Amino acid sequence: MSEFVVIVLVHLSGWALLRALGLRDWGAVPLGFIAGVFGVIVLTFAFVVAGADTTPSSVLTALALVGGVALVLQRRVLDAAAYLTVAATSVGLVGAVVVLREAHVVSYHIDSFRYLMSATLLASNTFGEFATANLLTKRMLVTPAMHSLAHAYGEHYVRSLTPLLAIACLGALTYVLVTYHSRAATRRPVAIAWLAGVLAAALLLSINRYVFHAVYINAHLTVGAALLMTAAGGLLLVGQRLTRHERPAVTVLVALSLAVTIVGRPEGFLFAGIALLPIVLAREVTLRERALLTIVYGASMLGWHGYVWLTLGSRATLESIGPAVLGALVLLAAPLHTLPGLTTARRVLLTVVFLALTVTFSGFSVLRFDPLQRSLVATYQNVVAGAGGWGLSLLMLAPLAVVAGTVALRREPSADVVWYPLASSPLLFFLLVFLREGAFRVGDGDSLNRMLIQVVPLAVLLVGIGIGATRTPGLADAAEGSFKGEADA
Amino acid sequence: MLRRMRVRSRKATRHWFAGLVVCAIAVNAMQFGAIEDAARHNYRALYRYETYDLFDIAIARDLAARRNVGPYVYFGRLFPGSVVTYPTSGVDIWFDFAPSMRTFGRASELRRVDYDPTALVRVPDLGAYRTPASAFAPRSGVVTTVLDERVGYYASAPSAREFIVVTPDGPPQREGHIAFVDVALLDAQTRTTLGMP
Repeated sequence: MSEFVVIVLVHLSGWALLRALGLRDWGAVPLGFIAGVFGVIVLTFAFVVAGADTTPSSVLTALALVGGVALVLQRRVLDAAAYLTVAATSVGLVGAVVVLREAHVVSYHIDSFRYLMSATLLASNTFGEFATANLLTKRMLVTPAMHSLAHAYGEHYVRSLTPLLAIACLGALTYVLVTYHSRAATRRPVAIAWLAGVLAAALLLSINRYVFHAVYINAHLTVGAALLMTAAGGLLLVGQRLTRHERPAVTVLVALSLAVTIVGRPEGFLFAGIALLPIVLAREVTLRERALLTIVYGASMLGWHGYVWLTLGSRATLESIGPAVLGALVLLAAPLHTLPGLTTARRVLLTVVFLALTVTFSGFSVLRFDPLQRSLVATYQNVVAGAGGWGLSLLMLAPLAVVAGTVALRREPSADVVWYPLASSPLLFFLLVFLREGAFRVGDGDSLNRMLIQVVPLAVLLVGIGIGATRTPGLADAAEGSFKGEADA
Repeated sequence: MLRRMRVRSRKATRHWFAGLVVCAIAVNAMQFGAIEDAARHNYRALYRYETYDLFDIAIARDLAARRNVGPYVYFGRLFPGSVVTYPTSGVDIWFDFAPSMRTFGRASELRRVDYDPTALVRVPDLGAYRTPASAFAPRSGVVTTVLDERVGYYASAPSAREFIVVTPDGPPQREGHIAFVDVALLDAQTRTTLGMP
């Protein structure tokens, strides 16, 4: 097996899965690659927890089976265009792999080797035997699962995988914005929809740290992609920009993204929860979709953190026990998603959760002001004074996102699916100050400085929404006709 | 009339905001190179190395990788598939010993035995059997010096690829010495102590 085969297989499986679930246009190409990568991670997660074989051949076989079954199920809808898409993207991917393999561009930190250590343990099916507390609670599964595939052809990391994921995110961002704007109730000109999509992708690509994370052996970009897919998928679902046939594909992608966020970073369950909340409380989301997303969220937390808790036994800390218990509570409370009052109280519930976060943060701030102060000073140095490698990018992006959010929320209520997790992220990030051993530091390698890329794509998505948001609905644009989004609630 | 003005206003807003986004893209693009120049090599977005091998890249350039990854990686390259016996305590090291040996060290089997790793073997007596870092690491003064301080491989020729781990200066942690001694170099009494034939 070679890297070419692995990459094409990952993409084809994800593409076939989304296509079988109803996504038939060009969006299935970038979203399919992301779904394929997330599929590898979720399958590895399931195999680890179940004690099954985690070698690359086993994971790739399962992935191919998923893709194969999806292809068989959709054989009647595979037309010439679909075959052409498969051929063209496969050729394109092989070309990209050739270039990326020979580029010898990679970024790392000493912890990158811990990720590669876990990847080797997964590839040799000895993860359960040798994984230490550090590997289980800090490094977790996302990066190890992705790079364990390299052992299928005798290498330590898949050189082209994260760069291709970064490229797929740019394609996905463009697709989501084009779809969102061109299918708005007050439909916007296609040129504006494309302008929003292309400018947003260009903005993300122009950020030096985004390109850095595309070649960095760490989990930040993948978790950022998962958060982006959760919010972007939620945007299309809540904004009713999808046909009844397309909704299952996007719902499954959001579900995969939630699981990836949870097994990707220690703080992942918090971010996944905050991103999920405005989606499952929306009346535009069907009961079935709500149930699936809630159960996947709870089961992923209980599955992974419960596994870590059981493995570490008496050495387990609140870092694992807390999310495991929360996961169990979410599963127990899952039937409540049918309560009719939930969606009508959506705004109140979102406000209450945000206030609860603010109060918790304020309480910790009073109790432990010193690490917070040092973290704030370090973050200022990293983000504003240039120590973190961001240049002016975040200083420009933040006001753009605030303006876009302010404009978009007035005309597009569904934009709060992106705005809510983004607005909550500073609170979540700085809450971590109180849960970790020390304050955040000055420099490229500081963990908050690296974590920022997890929410940067959300900010760029919001800017893309702002570019296309119309000023007054129902005038000239409305005359072009409106897209009938379908939520079969 | 009013309707036409509103449509014009809408377009103006759209273009005004898109114009700001274009400006942001331009500024990011202009700063890209300067950010690259200011960053350390491993935090650059587009730094091209001479090889894809992350172990070679990092060990040649970074003290942390040299000390914490190098000892295992070179052991794995010199003695792949070895059986390694290590003590139940006293081998505390920043990169956990067992998973590091199983992965980077490519050990086929790890045995945990109760013995004193500081006193079991007099390492200086085995100097003739030591493979110096210059024989397996990049020929750079600082790289080989750090590796020689951090790790010693003492093997018979040919090696049966069965080693014990000794730490003459106590738990190695981040900087201390760790030695891998070929079981064939141990005397009968020591082997008996370890329960070896």
